[in-house]
Amino acid sequence: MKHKLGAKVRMAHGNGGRFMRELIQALYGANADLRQLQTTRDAALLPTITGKLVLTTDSFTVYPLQFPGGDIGKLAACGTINDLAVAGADPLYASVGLILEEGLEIDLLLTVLESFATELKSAGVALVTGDTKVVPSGKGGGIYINVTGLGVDKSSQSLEIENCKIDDDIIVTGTLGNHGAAVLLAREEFGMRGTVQSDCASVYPIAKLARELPGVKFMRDPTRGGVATVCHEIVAVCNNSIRLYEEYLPIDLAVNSLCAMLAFEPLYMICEGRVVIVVNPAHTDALLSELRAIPGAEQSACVGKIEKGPARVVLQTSIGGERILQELEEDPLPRIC
Amino acid sequence: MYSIDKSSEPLITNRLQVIGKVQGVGFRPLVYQLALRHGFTGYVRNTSGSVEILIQGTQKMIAEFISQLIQSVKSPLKIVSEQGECILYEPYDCFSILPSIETTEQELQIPADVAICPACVQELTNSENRRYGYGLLNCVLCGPRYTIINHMPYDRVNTSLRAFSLCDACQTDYINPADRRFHAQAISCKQCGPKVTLLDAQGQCVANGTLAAIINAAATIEAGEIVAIKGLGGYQLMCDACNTYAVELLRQRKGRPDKPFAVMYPDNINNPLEFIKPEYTIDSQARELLQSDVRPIVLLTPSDANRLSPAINPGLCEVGVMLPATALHYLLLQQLKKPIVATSANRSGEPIINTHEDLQHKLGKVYDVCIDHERPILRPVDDEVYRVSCGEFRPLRLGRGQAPLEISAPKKFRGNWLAVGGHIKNTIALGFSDRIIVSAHIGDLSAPKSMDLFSDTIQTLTSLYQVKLDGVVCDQHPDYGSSRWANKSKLARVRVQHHRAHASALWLETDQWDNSIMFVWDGYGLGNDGSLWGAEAFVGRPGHWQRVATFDPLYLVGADAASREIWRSLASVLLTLAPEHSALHSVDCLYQQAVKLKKQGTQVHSVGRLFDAAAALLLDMRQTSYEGQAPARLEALCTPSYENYIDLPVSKNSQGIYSVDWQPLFIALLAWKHSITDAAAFFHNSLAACIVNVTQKISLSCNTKNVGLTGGVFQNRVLTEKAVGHLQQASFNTSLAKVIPCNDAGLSVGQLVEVLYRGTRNEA
Repeated sequence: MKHKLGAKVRMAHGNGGRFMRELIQALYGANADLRQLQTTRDAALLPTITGKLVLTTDSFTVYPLQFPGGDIGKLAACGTINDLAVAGADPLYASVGLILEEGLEIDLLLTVLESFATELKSAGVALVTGDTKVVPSGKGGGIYINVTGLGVDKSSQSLEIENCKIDDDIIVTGTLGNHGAAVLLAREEFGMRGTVQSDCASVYPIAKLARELPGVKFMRDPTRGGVATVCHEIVAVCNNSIRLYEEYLPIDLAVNSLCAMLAFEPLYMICEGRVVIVVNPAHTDALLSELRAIPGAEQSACVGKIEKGPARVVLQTSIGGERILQELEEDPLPRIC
Repeated sequence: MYSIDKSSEPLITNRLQVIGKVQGVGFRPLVYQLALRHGFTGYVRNTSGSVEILIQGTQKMIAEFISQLIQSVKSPLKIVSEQGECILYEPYDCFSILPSIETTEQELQIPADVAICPACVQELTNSENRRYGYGLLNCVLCGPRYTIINHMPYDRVNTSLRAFSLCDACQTDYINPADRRFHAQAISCKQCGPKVTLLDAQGQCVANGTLAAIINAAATIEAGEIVAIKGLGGYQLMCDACNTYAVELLRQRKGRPDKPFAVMYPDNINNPLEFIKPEYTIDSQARELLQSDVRPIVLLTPSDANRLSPAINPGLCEVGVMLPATALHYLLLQQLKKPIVATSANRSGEPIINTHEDLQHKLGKVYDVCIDHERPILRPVDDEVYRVSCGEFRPLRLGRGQAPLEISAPKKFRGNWLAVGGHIKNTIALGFSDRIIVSAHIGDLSAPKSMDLFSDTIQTLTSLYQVKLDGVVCDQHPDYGSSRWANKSKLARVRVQHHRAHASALWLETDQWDNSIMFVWDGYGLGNDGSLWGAEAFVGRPGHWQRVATFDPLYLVGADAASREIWRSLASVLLTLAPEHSALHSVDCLYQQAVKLKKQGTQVHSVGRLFDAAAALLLDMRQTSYEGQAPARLEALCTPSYENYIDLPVSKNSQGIYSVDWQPLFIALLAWKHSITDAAAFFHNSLAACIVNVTQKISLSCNTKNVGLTGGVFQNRVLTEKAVGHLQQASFNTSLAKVIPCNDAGLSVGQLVEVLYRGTRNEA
């Protein structure tokens, strides 16, 4: 990539908006959508939007910055899009705040930003404002990214967590725990060839389809704390039990064996490209066949159901035993998102 | 009116409140008969928690009456006397048993279930008797209690028999002072009582009535099939214990590949232990325990004449033996005249099943027929288990016949406390006034059913004892099911470090030593420094246990899984000592890398895990199918006469406490040239020697001769007996748990003792 930014981020880059402008210029040819970025203003002026507005913000600190299946840029874009998408919204605009560490390779930064821009573009999201700060070497993790996303919800269907009722099915749209496993292997430098790819992806196409289908009651992306944590959020509200069936959980062999060795529970491991969908059981089969036709959601499966009982999440093991999946007290693996 | 008074002494009226195990034990009939013999007038009645007696007679005779009363009752009584000389009591014209009254008091005691008594066995087997062949007969001295009580006082209307009205004949027994069933609350007969039936796995009735059900079920067992039976505390599964095919069938259907099964033997009241004596080494203590009211499972060593299938206890020496506890069991065994497997009907890790609905739902594919009856079991209770060590039987599990267990506290609690225990082998305990009440075995709180029983038991005990809680005490480990419950409760909470709770539980059984050394060895519990402990020694007393010794840590990845996957412990040992060892070939390189780089794992100071590593090495085992399997098999292997050992180096670590270097022990095992039975003994001997060595070092500075051994590791008889032998030779006083199990079942009691002495101060 040809640019005049130098090899590494310097403290001077943190002065005002010029660096951001230069970054954009460096990326210009690569991504047309960033043209909407209003680099000459401190605040972006947006056109009138009709419909319910949906706003989200999230900060991304993943380490390492690149991992099999993605990088922090892709993660930041997908994370924001996904938060809007599972709330039932169409994502429209985004802002970005970068906190860079002095000495960061500029090429790495540009690679990350390109991943970021590519994901926004494919979801039709315009990046409209941004900011950059530089912190001294040793005081930051290379790149931290904060993204705020704005979307609009024009659907008629409500997707509130309160909709979840006894007998509803719990659907997941793909294999579990890939992101957590991929980041762990990349981070811990076990010196092993990584066979696990992160599932980091935009779930907008999945959510857009699902929210229009009959029987769909609630969607959530199982990020930090994984599917088990989403289930805990549901049981806390509906005050009944969720039963998950070990035999139906879609889990890659490599993720499974990593979990077995390090004694992790895949249901607690973070996903970055999956959706947990709660659906009326009468519509489960139809939903699954629609989902499986979407690229990236081929392994969608019904993994459990809400049942009468105390507010808890129970795993029914393959041999018929039952185990309580406790609510996570602490994040077992920090900086995975 | 006082025509029965033969003395010239003045008559007085005395009101007595009798506190102790006085309900459900035939106490009121006893008082009634005694009072009549003395010619007293007045009354006796149950209150919610005690028995109230009002007697009118001479002072001398009343004193005599009281001393006779105390002598006639097995358990200790407390009698509060209130002399009513100057109170205007109306003279009574007879002595009677009055209806119970409900009161609020904290002295009440809940009766435990009692195994069938000899008099009931006589009736059961006498074809002339009205209750001949009735499987649910009982009397004032025996039968269900705790498992059928809804609330106190213990009256029929407050039990699960409420729906069964007495027929005329039973009613006559109930009101006849001369009858064994005078005021016996749980009585019934074929006419009026709950019916006994034999059901198939689909729940269809196959046979009606006790005798038909028994004959049919016995034939099923003879044919090598599986029978379920409704006992006192829950359902059990049974099959022919001498038929390997049948035992393996039960193992396969239940998904229980190795865990030993308890075995029930026929009883013969004319020749007690007729069937057990020839097949086991048995002393008077064992004899007494087997026949006690508790009718527990007792671990015995088989003699050469033993006929059991080897599939009963694979890899172990001892067998859990018991006698029939109910009429149904008695009749079934009498019909079969041979030992049968008697194991709790449950799914692995869950509580014993107590309803037919659950049995059919969960184990419908396990049994062929079920001996069922209509008397509801209100709460499940497992059988109690005992094992001998150092010449005395010690409980491994608290259960039926003892539940709820009461222990007196050395001083009064400030407020009413609930201790929620540990996570596996969980029990809970209440502490109020100067009393400690311990629940029966609840189980592994990972299972939702155990968690349900856990909350039900808290509900049951607080409501039966009418205790309003002020605080809860739990383990320091935040992820225990019990700790999470404590966290969510709105009660004041105190957290107690796992091994300090163990130490305090044992201390309660000593002469309440001022100062002592307590060894607490187990799998692991969370330590104060964030590492996992399980090889600890403390000095001091409850509330002030100072950690003075441990073992060097082992770096383990997946510490929770390590108790089943014993290869983890061995791999961690080998990666330190013998990275080229062939046993590592089968260990995934991810695990090896994680241990080498010390990532994603924990430092574990644990004798339990060293046992696992040694068993994995010597027995070539990778994993276990039940808790404690590895150390139990290692213990069973030991050559008794082998006495060699290695002295393990002890030095002060960075925290300033003694730490035992276990590496030389494994270096010796890795280079072992003799038999593995010698190696197993060598391992035990070295640990026993280590206890004495560490004790001597500690005692130099702490000025005590008192040494206690507790924690799950000391369920190991070989290690415990060797260590105690050495300690006594070196003139130390030793103490081992005898009332409360030394494993995690004892944590709840220990937590209460800690609260008693440290108040609401949390762990540092």
